Amino acid sequence: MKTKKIRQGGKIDRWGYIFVAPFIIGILVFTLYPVGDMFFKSFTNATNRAFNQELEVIGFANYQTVLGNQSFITSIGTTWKIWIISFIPQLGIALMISAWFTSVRLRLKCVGLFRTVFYMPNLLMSATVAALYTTLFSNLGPINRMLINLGLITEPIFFRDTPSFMVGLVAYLQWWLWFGVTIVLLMAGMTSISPSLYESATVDGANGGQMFFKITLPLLRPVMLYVLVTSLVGGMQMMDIPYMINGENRPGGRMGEFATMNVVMTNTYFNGNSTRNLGLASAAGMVIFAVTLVAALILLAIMNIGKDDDSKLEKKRLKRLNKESKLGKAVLS
Amino acid sequence: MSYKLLTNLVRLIVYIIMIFIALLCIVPIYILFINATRSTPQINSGISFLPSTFLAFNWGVLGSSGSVNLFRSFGNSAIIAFSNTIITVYFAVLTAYAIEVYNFKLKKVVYSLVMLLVMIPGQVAVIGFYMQMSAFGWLNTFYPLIIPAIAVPTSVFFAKQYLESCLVKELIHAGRIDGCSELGIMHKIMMPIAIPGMFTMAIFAFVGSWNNFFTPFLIITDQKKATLPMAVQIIVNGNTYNREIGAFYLGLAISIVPVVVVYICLSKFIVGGMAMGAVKE
Repeated sequence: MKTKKIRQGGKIDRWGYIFVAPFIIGILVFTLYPVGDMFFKSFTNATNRAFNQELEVIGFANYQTVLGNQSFITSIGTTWKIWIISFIPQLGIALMISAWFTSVRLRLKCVGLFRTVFYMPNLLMSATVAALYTTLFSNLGPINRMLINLGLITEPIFFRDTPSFMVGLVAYLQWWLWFGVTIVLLMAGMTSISPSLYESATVDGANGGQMFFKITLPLLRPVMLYVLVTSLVGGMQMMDIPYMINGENRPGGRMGEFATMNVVMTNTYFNGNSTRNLGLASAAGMVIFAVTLVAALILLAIMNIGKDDDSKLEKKRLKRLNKESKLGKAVLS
Repeated sequence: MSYKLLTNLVRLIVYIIMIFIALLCIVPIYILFINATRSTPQINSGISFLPSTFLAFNWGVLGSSGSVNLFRSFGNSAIIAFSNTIITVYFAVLTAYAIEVYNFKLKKVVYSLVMLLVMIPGQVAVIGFYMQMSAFGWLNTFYPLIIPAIAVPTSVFFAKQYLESCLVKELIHAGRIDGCSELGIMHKIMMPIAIPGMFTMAIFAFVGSWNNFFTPFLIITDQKKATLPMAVQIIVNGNTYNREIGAFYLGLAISIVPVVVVYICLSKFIVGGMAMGAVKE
């Protein structure tokens, strides 16, 4: 901005407060207060029966109940398992594809079209996606019919009764829904890297792999950080697909083999009971919140520790590359 | 092997992989639409890639049967998604405009809050949100799905990125000199400039609201007020159209048609917008 900087707190600038007021009120009422309220209620015996009930503070009893609930404890591991199984291929394949898409050497055609197709699954309703795959893989469903028609099997495979298959399917659907987004983000990051870096690297005789690991990856750090954190937070909240994929009113699978934290919480504290124990639900919500937050903070810390020494090295490398490229150009001309 | 030959070989392999992944994306959706036009015996006999003639029949089944009314849910979802979208876009632009244009003291704090909530959304406290709505007496209403749209951090973040690139401060000064009010400047000068960005935001807000399952699922228990994802879930679990699988597929197809149509028409805005929203730090 070239305009002269106006002194802070000028009369006109007070309008800033008025303009952000709805947002701040919204955040306070619909996000921050609920977090605090959930924290407080997790120590009480609150139910949904009466909101003017006398709340009794019962200490950590709710947490003991929640953490003593075996299926809830299992769900923490399940959530991580599904997230990791789906996220590693998501990032790996997205990196590979975006590197190909932006590759100067390959010069692929129809990149825009492919990218559009890859992004599409993310916009589809996950309820519908879950329902679709439920029917595709049902005992007498199209997949079984096709396999039988092709003569590959004689008896239908009971996909939905095979826990490992269903876990794989949930992870696959998570990948299917999100890899396109990752590609779009990574590509945007890659195209914003100055092509002169690659040119000078080529002059220095670097090959494709070297350029990818020494230039592309380090400079993608901000985008990667964004992808990692949002994916992790979203992954810990995973709900729609595992809740609905099984059909037959058994959210999370027959043996709860793909019941994520939110699925178990919803099932245990929100299904069917007319009196909901909101204290317990809050405690469960707090545990999920804590798992998510701690994971995100650890991730941010890891990425930041690496950053300092790396960015110094990066600057040095850029300097050297620049110098050498100038040298190279001088020699060439 | 020469460099050129190798490049061509790699290119061929890459194209094959791309086409394979593209098929993974398209084929299930294609089968969904095709099955919506087929009869139950036809569907039971296997997968086909050619449409059949039972669309009208399936439509009739869909309209006549079931504990859940798909068309009513479609209407509910449309009301919620449209209101949500308008509110989201307007207030996101308002907030972003304030952060971008004015130099008030708490500006940095507000922006940091936005950034934090982009990374860790309020969704993680959904139980707290539920209790708050319960305290307001808003359970089983559409308000909890519409009113919180006044504060959507991802949209504010996007709007801020967009305004940064298109805002002309000289115009704002000119507006002030001509005696336009601050709100008037935003409405009459800034918003017309920002229409393309607002449009992209609107698409994302609409799709997000349209596809949201978890929040309405907790808030709404009355089946008359069920949103479309909830209706889909009820259909799947309740085996409502058990005997008429064609109708079931048609129901699923209806739930994604709006988004697919919007996407086919506006994919450039959507994919470009997605990239623009998140990159710069």
